Amino acid sequence: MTQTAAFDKVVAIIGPFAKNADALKAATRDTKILADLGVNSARLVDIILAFEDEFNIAIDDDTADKIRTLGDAVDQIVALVKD
Amino acid sequence: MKRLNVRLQDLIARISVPFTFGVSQLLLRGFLGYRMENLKAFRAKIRSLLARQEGPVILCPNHLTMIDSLLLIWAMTPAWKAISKPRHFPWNTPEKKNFYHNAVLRFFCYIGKCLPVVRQGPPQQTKILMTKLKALLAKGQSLMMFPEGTRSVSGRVDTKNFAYGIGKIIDDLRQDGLKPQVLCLYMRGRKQEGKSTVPRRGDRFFIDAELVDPHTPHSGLRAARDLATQIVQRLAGMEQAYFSR
Repeated sequence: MTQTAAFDKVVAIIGPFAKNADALKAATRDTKILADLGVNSARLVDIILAFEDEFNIAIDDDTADKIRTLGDAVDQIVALVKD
Repeated sequence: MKRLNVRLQDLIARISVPFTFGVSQLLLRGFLGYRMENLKAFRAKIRSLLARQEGPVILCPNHLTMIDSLLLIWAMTPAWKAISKPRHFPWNTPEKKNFYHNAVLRFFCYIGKCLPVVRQGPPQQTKILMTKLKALLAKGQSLMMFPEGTRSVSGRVDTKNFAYGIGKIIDDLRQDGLKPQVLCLYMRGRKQEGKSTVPRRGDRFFIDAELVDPHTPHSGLRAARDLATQIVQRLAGMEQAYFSR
């Protein structure tokens, strides 16, 4: 899976949880999921589980804790898909 | 060191119970004029539910006002029992931003067995708090945690946007071989419509409790979500029963 393909899917998954639509449209790898997109922290778990379902991977708690930006999410997903 | 701090806080809180409960009664009953409906029957129910088995107790109330914990502790237990039976005087996890901005509140939070939580705080900080809470629960203490994570904006139990922290604690305790009991508490002032800072002066409170035993075939985050969902749904069921009475 390429970084670009993963990024597009990540943005699509986060979309319904993002309160800041403008930030979502202009999203880059450095966009912070909670602070910039206005995602409720409790919904981060739903997003992680949606990543697991979409990419057929398992994300453990420590890995989930490292996901702060869209780039973090993409990197972790691409690494797990490769494994 | 951190565990020692918590044990010291527990000791000071228990010694301070006559003062804490006295001030609380003066404020809640005297100044604000609140009354609990069926207080004796409710306390008897709590005694009976908590006596059924040993082990950690997690109290999961609905959340409408900033002083719900105070009201619930008053409803659940008389002062003498709070001193002799720590399970009847639960630990709380108030939002740091709301309760730790002045020295008086910080003092009362300390002697009221509160451990502050920072919403959207660093994961490491949350982990430290979770470790403390699990250690307290493992020692047979009780914890009050609002499963919705925040006061309900609509005034009704929010079954869509709630936190999963409670599910994580239960799952972790079970992984450690413990059998936590979950006591759902539904409390509502008769004049309470939506969320507020405090209930209206002179309000009378309906309160009920049910033991639940949430289970899940999942693990990790999925288990946390599943367990938290079952608790919130039970609270929503208790609310439905309240409004259909």
